[in-house]
Amino acid sequence: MDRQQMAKADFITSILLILTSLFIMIYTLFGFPRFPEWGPLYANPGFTPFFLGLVLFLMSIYLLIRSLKDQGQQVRTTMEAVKTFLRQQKVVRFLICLALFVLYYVLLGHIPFIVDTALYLFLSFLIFGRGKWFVALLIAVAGSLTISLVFSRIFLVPLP
Amino acid sequence: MGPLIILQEVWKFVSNPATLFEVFWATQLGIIVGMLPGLTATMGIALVTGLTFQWATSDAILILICIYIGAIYGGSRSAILINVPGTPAAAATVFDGYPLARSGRAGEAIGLATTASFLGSMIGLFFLSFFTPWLGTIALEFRSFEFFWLTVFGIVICGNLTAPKDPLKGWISGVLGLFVALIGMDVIQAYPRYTFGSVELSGGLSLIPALVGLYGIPEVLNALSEIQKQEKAMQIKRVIPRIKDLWDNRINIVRSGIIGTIIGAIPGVGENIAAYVSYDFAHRASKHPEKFGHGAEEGLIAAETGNNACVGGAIIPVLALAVPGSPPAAVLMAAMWLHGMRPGPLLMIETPNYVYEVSAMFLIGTFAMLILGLSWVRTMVKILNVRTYILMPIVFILCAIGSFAISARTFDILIMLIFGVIGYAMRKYEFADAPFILGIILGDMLDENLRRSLMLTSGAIPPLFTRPICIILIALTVLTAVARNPRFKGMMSETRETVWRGLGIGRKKK
Repeated sequence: MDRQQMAKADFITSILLILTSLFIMIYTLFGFPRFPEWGPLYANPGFTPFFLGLVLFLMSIYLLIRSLKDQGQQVRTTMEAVKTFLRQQKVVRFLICLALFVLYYVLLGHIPFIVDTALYLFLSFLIFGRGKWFVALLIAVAGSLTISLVFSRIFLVPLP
Repeated sequence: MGPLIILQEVWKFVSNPATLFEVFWATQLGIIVGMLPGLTATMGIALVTGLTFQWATSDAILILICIYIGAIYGGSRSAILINVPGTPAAAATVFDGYPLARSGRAGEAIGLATTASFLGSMIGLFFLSFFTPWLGTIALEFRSFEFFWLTVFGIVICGNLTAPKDPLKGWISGVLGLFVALIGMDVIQAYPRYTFGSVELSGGLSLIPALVGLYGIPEVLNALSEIQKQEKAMQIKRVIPRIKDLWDNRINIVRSGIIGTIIGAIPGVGENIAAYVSYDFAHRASKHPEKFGHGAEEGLIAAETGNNACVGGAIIPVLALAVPGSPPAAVLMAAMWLHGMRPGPLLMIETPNYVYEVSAMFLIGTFAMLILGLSWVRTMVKILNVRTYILMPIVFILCAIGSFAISARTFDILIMLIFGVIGYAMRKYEFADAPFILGIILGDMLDENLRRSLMLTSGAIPPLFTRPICIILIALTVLTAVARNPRFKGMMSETRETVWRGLGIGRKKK
């Protein structure tokens, strides 16, 4: 990422961080109880989070100012640019990878662990490996069985 | 007494074949984890922590230490053979390791890297065994005030050194980590903070799933989303190094070992920086600096000695102060907590021999690394040919099992996934992950000690700034924070020149 792109990224990140820190401070001020019997402000459970929120706020402001100096505010995007970005092979692969993670997580507990793992491995080998489907299936099933056996029998680990 | 206890502990481990077997498989696993690009020492330790959770404490910690040593060393294999550092710790090994391999000396380079790693580990071990009890005694003087400043100093120096291009982002990362650690019940009044009614969150975010996510998932996402050409590993001939080569580098080895250990002892900094700094010092001190980057044995030895010495150094503050010296040491410390150990100043009172027990574990792990590092190299190198698209989905499954294993909660897998995505974004936008991890580990310590110290003094601020150790820690924090400021650098340079002139010492012109 070059300096200009990083400045734009920093601009967006700093805004997100400012909002996060404001949320932390406001929520801590109004959403947390007071425990007067323990002492004044510093004894409250919200004291440290508020303090951290304040530090984060100040640092995010500095990041924002720095990004503005490098013209980071010139973030322009069009539908066409978004479409081009989403069509990039790297982005597609990233999103598929993420979708497979989510699918694996969602199916856990609904189908047996061995089946879920084999399905995840099969889809991953097939999509990212470009091999023959039956080879991918074979490795996925063998992999899933081996993992289940090794961890449940040797490591005595509870499986999802 | 110390060395005797270590030998006694070593004998206890060595005389038990089952333990010896554990040492060898764990070190070998560590070497494999280190060898494979994308699998780091931190991730390996985090994964195995979950998998060995049911094991006896001493067995589990022994295995984790062996994996740690093995993985930091293992990274040199892929650095030398395929020009890709297996772990960030081996990034400086690439500079001279790969050119050596290209000139037909791959086996020799592996032999030198193995021996240098062994010697580096031994130097780290020396400081670990003899320096930790001393530091522990000083740490007994620490009260809430000092611990508060220690956490602040840790975050500031870690942010500064792990994000050298942009310390601000390192510090932001550290503060975010500190905040994340506060989610869940607070340590003083047991009030659930930022849980929003979630029962799973009330106990706090599980450390191991978060660490597995931060280190494992970004690697899987990176490896599978980018189409990379996989290099073929080179052929290997002689592996055993020549004594002469090592003797010629004796000063280099001792210097790199000491540098590595010192950097290791700095909170959260880690093996990659230890290797870079050792390499840089070797470069400056070399009679043939022009050879660096073109297959200089000195460079390879410095980097490998430095990163393995850092392992011992990183465990020193874990045991003495409960502050990890590197990201893998942070996971090791989390594993100690999980197994009911209480690393920190009280360790010296409660279990004074534990430092020597850890040293003994470290010693046999180091010897196992040397033996495994010099044997069946040709066979092990074949692992480098495993395809990424096969390896990485399996790594994801292991991450999921490792996260689930601690508390048998599917929720922890969700935590792993969320932290994985956060970790990926942090890397992409150059927010160092080490301060974030350190923040997660030290968050409770900061909160508890800040509030407790204020409660003890009925809100009086001066004791926070006037106690002797506090003053030292504050001075170090401020110095670290301003060290990269150009104005401060200029001022320091001018002062140095004035002092030199005052002393009548001329300086060499570059």
